[in-house]
Amino acid sequence: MELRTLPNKIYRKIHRCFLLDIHQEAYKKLVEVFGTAESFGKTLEVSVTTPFGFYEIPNRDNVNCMEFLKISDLSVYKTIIFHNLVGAGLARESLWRLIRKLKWYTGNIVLMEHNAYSADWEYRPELFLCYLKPEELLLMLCTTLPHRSFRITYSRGLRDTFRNFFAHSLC
Amino acid sequence: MTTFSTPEDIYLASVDNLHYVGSYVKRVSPLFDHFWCVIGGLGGLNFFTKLYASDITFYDVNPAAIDYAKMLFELIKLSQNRVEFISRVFSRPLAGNTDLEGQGLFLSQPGDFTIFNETRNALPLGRRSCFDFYFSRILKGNYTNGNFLISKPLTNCSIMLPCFPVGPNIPVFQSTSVRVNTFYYGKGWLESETTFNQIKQVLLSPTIQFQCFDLTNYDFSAIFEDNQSVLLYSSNIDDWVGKDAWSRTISAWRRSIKAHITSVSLYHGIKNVT
Repeated sequence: MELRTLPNKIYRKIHRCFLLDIHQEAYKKLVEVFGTAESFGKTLEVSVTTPFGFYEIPNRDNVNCMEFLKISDLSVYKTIIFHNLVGAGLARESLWRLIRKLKWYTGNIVLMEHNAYSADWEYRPELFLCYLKPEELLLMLCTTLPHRSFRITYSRGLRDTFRNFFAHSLC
Repeated sequence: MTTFSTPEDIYLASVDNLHYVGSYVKRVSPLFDHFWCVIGGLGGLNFFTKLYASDITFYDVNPAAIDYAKMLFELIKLSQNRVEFISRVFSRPLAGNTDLEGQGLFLSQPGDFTIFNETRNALPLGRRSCFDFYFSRILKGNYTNGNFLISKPLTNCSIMLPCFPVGPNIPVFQSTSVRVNTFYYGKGWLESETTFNQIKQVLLSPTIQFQCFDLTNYDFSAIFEDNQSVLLYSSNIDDWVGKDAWSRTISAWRRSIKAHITSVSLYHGIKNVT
């Protein structure tokens, strides 16, 4: 029997005991994208609720979506991270609105989301429709921020290597 | 529950997990006298990237699936390459190196009537009504919230995607609107122009036959010659009919058939039946 065919209950137990911390996996991937943890610079992390996110990043402010929209000067931040917004229940239209605010922002942009394709939600069909797909986010980004080019990096989950994805554009 | 008997019950593309199919393709012997391949979502086409069989029979319990397969095979034969094939299926122009991450751009294009009509007119007359019935749904499909929803969804297909990652099962939940079919473009038989041309060559072969029957109630004993080597691909029929019915089918084959049958099914894997 392959590991990925084990029932969810057993899977979670194995995961808790031995395997990995999904948050740490995501953070490791993010650091890989930037090269070093120091490269983040002053960071603004946007999440649906606060406090939340990559607490490991040294110089980090954490705000929710409404607070983000109220910030008048984004240029003080070297990096802006949207941390799993649609995955945490934010509507796609609201994500468009947040992305549009980045139109004149010239620093590093990272958008992290749950990947709708991941086998981690294989038994919950509604999530295939709720969560974002990499191609969908890339389409959103290339129509809203056409002057930036984005790449996709994946971080692993319980059942496969692409539970979460980062769309990133570094300057 | 699907009866698999009406034109609404067919799959437009694969729902077989390519992770498993790919591993069976690698492990199975490449030479057989006869390959019996279920049509289903045409996941069995992946076997032709490695397999050589003197005779090939495509079967399905649903006569509409046979019509669809015949039409799709014509489409493969008339396409110069896999890019053209996917463009014709979706009636949208495809950029050459589209992958999973780029398919959003492809699918967000409106359906192109010129491609649709050109494809339709290139098909033999007898295949055009089938093409209209299924592919007009794709032509009128729209890309909403990351999903390409076909118009007038089928029992087993509401979302069509050219690409899908290898690994997770393709979500097909009949009680919901999540019924995904995919061509796994960039993988399997659509991995490269070479694999696509291999399939094309196989489909041009005059030895291809089509048969409509229920695998679990079919008497193969009169068909198979003694000592003939047969590969029988049945996709997920083993899971669909249930463990007991599948065991009974295998036992019946063991009792009555003298040919050497290798059965490949998604849940029981590769089994030398007789």
